[in-house]
Amino acid sequence: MTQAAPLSFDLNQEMLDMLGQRLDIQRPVSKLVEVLAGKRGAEAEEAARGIFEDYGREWAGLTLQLGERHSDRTYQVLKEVVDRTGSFGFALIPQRFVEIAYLSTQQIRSLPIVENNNRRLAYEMRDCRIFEAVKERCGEAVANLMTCRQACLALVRSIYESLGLAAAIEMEASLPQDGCCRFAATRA
Amino acid sequence: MCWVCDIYGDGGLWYLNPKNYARNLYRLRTPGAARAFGEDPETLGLRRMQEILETRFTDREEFSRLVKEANEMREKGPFQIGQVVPLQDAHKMVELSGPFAAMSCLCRIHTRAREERSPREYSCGGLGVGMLKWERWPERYKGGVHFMSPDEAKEWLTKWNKRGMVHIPMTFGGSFIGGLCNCDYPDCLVIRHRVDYGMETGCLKGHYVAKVDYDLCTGCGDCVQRCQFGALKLEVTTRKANIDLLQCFGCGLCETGCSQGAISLADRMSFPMLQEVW
Repeated sequence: MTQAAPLSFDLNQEMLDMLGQRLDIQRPVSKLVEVLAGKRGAEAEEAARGIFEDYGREWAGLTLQLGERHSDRTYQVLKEVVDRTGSFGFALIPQRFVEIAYLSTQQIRSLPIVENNNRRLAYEMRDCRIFEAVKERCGEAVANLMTCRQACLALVRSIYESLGLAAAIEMEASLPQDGCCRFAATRA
Repeated sequence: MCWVCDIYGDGGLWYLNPKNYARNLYRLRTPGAARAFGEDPETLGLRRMQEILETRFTDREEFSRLVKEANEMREKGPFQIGQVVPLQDAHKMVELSGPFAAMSCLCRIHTRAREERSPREYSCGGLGVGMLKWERWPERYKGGVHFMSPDEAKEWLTKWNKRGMVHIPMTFGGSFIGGLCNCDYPDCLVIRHRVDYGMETGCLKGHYVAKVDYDLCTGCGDCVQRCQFGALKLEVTTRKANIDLLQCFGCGLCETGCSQGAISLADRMSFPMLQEVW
């Protein structure tokens, strides 16, 4: 009888590569460039918000889909712990998908988590490729408007909604002002 | 505030700062780099501690110098940082961390050759997402670990408190608090290193000191038996408990063990002479 190889505690690299390819961050930025060429002021800002919100929702959807399909031992144990204790799911299950989302699309080796407990999940992003791409292609003034934040907010919101967890999602710091973006989900 | 709060507290108590419990679930390996199975901070600190302790019989002066040097290294040294906390603060810590797992105590294996074999006996607490990967270290977690909900963890801490154990949170690399142990003298290595050899970093005094209400104290002596640090005695002339504030670690075991409610905890910083005594 053959036994299945034990799962790794690490994330599946193929899954990360696949997500990275399908969620090319240049795509929403190119759309933004087009929109900015044809629209001005509040209208342009509204359109930009929509572009990044759509991207964020797609980002969450694919991450949840592939992240669930490609499990790992860390996730298995996490689910066992949540089942056994009835606790820790609020921060830690979404945290896994948030980490997958950023590790697959950003050039980072780990996501700085600043709070993860039964009440809150918070993380920071310093060298953001989306922000840098907007700055490079649309200029610093446009980048500093932080319309790209809608992508991260939609990502976290969609992940929590899909997992059936009620949470208030907020942005607590932004790259231009604070040197990093910080997003937090607080138990509603 | 103690020096650990100055560095890791963000204006409050370092062990009640949620940031010090947060950690990522995953870390990507650098392409081409071999997995680093280096020494963990716990092992590194214990090894250095052992080297220092070995000099105490061969060169007393050198031993004193090395202990002083180790204490002055503070967070820059290889030692885990630990601090005595009372039960009520240990309960607050449980709310800030997750998951929470009970496991066998390494110290008691080393000092007593006594292995805790079941969840009922486990006295060490592991905190944070690193516990989800416990199977990676089967030798350390022989017998497994027992995950608990926050309420179960609070009950578990209360159980050990009743048995006279001191609660000590410990860091595992930087400011990350990965352990909350239930310790006693002489089983626990960090208490022993502190009390017997003066090595401070692993077992700093807590932010409280105990005080006695002499009107309520009946002189039963229960508190004296619960003190791990020799800070309590029964005063012969008054037949009341007396606390040596300079010796008190603020663990609160005397408070939770006093059936008369005669002992309470006060802020260490409210006593000018204790403000630098950690």
